[in-house]
Amino acid sequence: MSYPKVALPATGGGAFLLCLLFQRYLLAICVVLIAATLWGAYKTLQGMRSLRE
Amino acid sequence: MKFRVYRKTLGRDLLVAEFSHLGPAQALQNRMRLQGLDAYVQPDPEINGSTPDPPGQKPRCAPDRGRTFPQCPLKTRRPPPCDPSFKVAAVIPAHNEESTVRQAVEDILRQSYPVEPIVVVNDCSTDRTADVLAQLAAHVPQLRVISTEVPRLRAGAVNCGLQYLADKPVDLVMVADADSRFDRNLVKEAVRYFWRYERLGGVCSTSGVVELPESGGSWFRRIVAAYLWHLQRLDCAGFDATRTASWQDVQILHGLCTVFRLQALLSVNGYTSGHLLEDYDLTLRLKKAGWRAMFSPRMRAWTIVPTTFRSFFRQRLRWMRGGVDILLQHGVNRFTRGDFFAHALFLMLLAGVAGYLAVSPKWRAGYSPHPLPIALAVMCFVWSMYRLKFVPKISVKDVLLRATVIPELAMAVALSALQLMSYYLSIFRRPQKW
Repeated sequence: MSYPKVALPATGGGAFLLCLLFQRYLLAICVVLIAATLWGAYKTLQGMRSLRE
Repeated sequence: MKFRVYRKTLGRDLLVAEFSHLGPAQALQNRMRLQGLDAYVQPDPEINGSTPDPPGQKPRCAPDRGRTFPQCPLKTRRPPPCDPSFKVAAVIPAHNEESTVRQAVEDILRQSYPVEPIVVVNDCSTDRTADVLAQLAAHVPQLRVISTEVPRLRAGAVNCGLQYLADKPVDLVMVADADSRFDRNLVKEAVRYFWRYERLGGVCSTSGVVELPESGGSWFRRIVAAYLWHLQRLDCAGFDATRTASWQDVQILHGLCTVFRLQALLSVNGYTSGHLLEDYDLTLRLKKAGWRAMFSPRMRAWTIVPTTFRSFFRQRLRWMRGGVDILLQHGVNRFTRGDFFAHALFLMLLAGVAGYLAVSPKWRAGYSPHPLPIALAVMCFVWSMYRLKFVPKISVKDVLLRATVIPELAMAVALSALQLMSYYLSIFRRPQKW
C-alpha cells in the first residue's frame, strides 16, 4: 500500500473532524474538497504511470 | 521442471513466484485470481525459448514464494501485441447520419486489425442515410445494413446489431457512434487488452473532438461555435484524465467507441432501452456480472460536438439527468458509491460557496477570506493547468482559455445550475422529451 493511500484520507479525515469539533463547517468542507483534489491528482498520476509501463 | 506464476500487466508480465511443483503454483494463481489479479502459470521450458539458468549461477529472478517483484529483470520475449484469433465485428447505430456515417465506416475498414462484419443499424432515418449506406454496401462486402421499422433509439438499434451477431463466430464487438472517427490502430489496441485480461467486458477509447467545421452564419454564431468547441475540447481532455485515474475500472464504457466482449454483452442481455444514458447502465450491469471495464489511452477516437448553446445544454442535461436516474435506480453499492460521493462533493462545494456568501459577516466588510479556500482555489488552478497535458495538439487558445479561468468558470456555473435541475427532474420524475 503506497503512502498517499493511507496518509491522505487519514490526514484529511482528521482535519475534517477537527473542523467539525470547533464548529468550522465551511473549513470542514474546504478540507474535504482539498483532500478530494489531492486524491484525484494522485490517482491520475498513478494511472499515467501504470499505463506507461 | 519449474513452474512460474506471472501477473498480467499492460507492459511486461511480472514474475510473482517460482515453484518446483505445479500444485502450489496453481494454488497461488487461484489466490491471486480471487483477489482480482490476472495471473497465470507457465512451465519453465516454455518461456519462449529461454534457456534455464546455468548451474551454480544466480537465477535471473530470485524465487520467493508469495512475494511480488515488480522490477523483475527476467528477460522474456514480449507476448504478441494482439492475438489474431480474436474475431472482431462492429455495430454502428445510425439515425440521420448521412454526412458522417460513410467516414465512420471507412475508418473501420482502414483498421490495421480486420473487422468483419460491420453492422450498421439504420434507425428510421429520415434523411439520405439509407441511400449512403446502400451505396457503401454495394462496394463493401463486409458491410451489413439493418433497417428498423419503428424507431428503436440507440439502445434498441445496438441490440438489433447484437442479435444479428449472436450466432456468428465473433469474439469482440466494437460499438461506436456513426458521427465519430477512429484511429487506425484502435481495434488492434483493444484486442491487446482482451488478450491480457480474461474477465475484461469492455474497453473504451479516448474521447477527442473532431476539427471545428467551417460554419456559416453571423459572426456571433461563429464565435459561440469556436468558444464551445474549445471548451468541449478541454472538457473531453478532462474526461480522459479522469479515465486515466481509474483506467482499470472506468465509470462509463461510453458510446463514442467501446470494444466489448460479445459474450459479456450477451450475458447481460445487451443494452436496456428507456435510459437516457444507456452506456452507464450497461457498464454497471457488466460490473455486477463480474466483468471488468477498462480504458485505453491508445485507442483514440474523435466525435462531433454541439456548437450551439441550445444543443450543448440539451446534451449535457440529458447526460446529467440520465446519470442521476441510473444512480437512483441502482442505489448505493460498491460500483456506484464513488459516483454518489462525487455528487456529495458537488453539493458540498455548492453548500460551501452558498454558506460563505450567506452567513459570513466578514464578506460584507470586504475582509479577505480564510487561507484554506484560497489554497483550494490555487490547488485546483494548478491541477487544471497540469491536466492540459491530456489535450491533443494543444493550441495557445486552449491554454489562454484555461489560464484566464473566467470562460470555464462561467460555463461551470451554468453547468452547476443544470446539474441542480437534473436532480429536480430526476427526483420528481418529470417527463421530458429529447
